[in-house]
Amino acid sequence: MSMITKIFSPYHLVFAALILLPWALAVFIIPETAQQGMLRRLRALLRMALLFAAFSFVLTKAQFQSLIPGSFRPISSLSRTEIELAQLLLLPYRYHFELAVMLTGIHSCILNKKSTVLYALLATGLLLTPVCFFFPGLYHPGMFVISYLYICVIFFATISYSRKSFPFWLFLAAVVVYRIRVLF
Amino acid sequence: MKKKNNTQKLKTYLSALSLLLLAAIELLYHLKIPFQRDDLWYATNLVTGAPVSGFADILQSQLWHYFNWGGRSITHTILQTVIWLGEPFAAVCNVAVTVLLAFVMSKTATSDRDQKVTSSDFISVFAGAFALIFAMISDLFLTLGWESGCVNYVYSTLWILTFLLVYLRSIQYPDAAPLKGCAFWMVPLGLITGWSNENMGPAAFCISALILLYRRRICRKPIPVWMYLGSATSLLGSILMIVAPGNFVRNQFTENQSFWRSVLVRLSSLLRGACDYLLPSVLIFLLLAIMNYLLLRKLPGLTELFLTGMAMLAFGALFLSPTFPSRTAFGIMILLQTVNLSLIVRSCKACGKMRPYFTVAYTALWIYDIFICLMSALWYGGIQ
Repeated sequence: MSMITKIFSPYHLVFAALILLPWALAVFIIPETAQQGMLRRLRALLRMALLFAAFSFVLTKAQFQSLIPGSFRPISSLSRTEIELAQLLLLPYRYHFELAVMLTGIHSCILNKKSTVLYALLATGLLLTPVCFFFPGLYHPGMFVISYLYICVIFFATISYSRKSFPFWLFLAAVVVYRIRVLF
Repeated sequence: MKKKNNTQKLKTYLSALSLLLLAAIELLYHLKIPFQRDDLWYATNLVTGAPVSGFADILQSQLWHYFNWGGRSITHTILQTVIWLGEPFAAVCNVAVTVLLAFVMSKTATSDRDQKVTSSDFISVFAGAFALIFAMISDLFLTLGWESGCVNYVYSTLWILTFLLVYLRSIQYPDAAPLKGCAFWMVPLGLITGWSNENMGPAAFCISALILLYRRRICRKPIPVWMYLGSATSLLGSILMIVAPGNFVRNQFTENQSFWRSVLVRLSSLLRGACDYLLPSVLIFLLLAIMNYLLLRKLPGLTELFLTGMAMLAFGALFLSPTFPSRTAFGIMILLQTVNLSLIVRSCKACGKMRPYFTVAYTALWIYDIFICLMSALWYGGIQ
C-alpha cells in the first residue's frame, strides 16, 4: 500500500490534470495531428500524453511539493532543507531550460519547422524568472510555472519528430528506470 | 566582413570574461568555506594526532592510512599537503585545478581530426566546459567545496582526463611524433591515474588497453614504449589501491549486512547514480546524440566512442564501490560532459544556425552556476 501511495501521491492527481492542457493544445498547434483521421489522431495524442507524463514524472516531482500551502515565504527565512529545495527548484536552469532550448533549436534549425509557440513559451518562462526573484513570495509557485512552461516546450518540440520513434522510446526508457528507483 | 570579425571578437571577449568571472566566484566560494569534517582529521598526523608539521608526518600518516583506512594514498597525500599549506593556498589551488580540468575537457572535446576549432571558438568551448562542471555536479559542496571531496574527485579527474587525452592523440594522429619525454612522465601519470579512485582508475586502465589494441589492430601502427608503460603503471596503481589492507579493515566496520541485502543496496546506489546524480548529464547527452547521429547523420568520433565507453565502465564499477555515489559520479559526469561538448562542436560545424541556441543555454547555466555557488557558500560557509 505504501509503495502505491509513494508512486501515486496526491500531487500526481494535480499532475494528471496538468497533462490535459498541453494535450488539448497539441491538437491545435501541431498541424500534422490536426489533419489526421480520428484513430490516428487518438494514437498520436496518446503517445503525446505518454511522453508528457514521462517528462512530468521526471522533472516536476519536487515542484509539486512546492505547492504545499505555507511555502509563500521570503527567501531569507528559508531553512536548510528549503534552500536545498530552492536549488532543486532551480532545475529549470540546469536541464529543463537546456533541453527546452536545444529542442527548440533542433525544431527550427534542423527540422526547419515553425517555432512561434515554442519561442513564446520560452520567452514567458524567461520573463517570469526575474519576477520570482524580485518577489520572493512568488518564488516556489513561480518556479513551478516556469518548469511547467519548459516541459511544455520539451513536449511540443519532441513530438514534432516522434514519428522516428527511437528518441521517444529512449526518453521513456530513462523515465521507467527512474520510476524503478523509487521502489527501492 | 569587418562587422563579422568584430562580432567574433566580442564573442571571444565575452566568453573569456564570463570564464574569469566564474573563476573569481569560485575563488570566493572556496575562501568562504573553511576546512571541516574529514579535512580536520587529515590536518593531523593520523598516527600521533598532532597537527601536521612537515612531509615526514604526511608520509607516516599515509603509511598508517594504507594499512588501516583506505588505498587512495596518492590523493590523500596531496590532500594532506594542501591542507597543511593552509586555506588560502587550498582555495587558489582548487580554482587552478578546476580551470585546468575545464581546459583539458575542451582540449579533449576538440581533439578529433574533424573537430578542430579556431582559437576564438576554443575559448567559447573552454568557457562552456567550465560552466558545465558547476552546473552538472550532483553535490557541489561535497565534491567541490569541501577540500577532501575536491582533492579526491576534481584533482584526480584532471590527471585521468590528461592521461586519456595523450592516449586518444595516439589514435587520432597515429603518425605524429610522441610528445616530448613521454616515456618518462607517462610512468607517474599512469600510476596516479590508476591510483586515483576505485571506479575511474580501473576504467582508465581498461580504456588505455583498448586504445592500445585499436592502434595495433585498426591503425596498424607499432605501439610506442610509453603506451605500454602508461597502461602497465595505471594497472599497477589500480591494484595497489584496491588491495590496500585498509580497505578490508574499513569494510569490517561498514558492511554488516547479508549478501542479498548488500546486492540490493549496491543496485539501488547504481540506479540512484544514473537516475538522480547523472540524470541531467545523461538527458543532455541523449538529446545531443540523437541530434547528431539521427538527425544530422554524423558518425561518432573516436573521442566520443572511447569516453562514452569509459563512462559506462566507470558507472558499472559503482556496483563494486557503492558508497557516496553522488561524489563518485563526478568523474563519470566529466566524461559525459566532455562527450557533450564534442557533440555540441560537431553539431555547430554541421548546422551553424544552432550556435545561438547553445549560447542561450550557456548563459542560463552561467547564471545558475553563480547562484548555486553563492547559495552553497552562504550555507556551508556562513554558518560554520
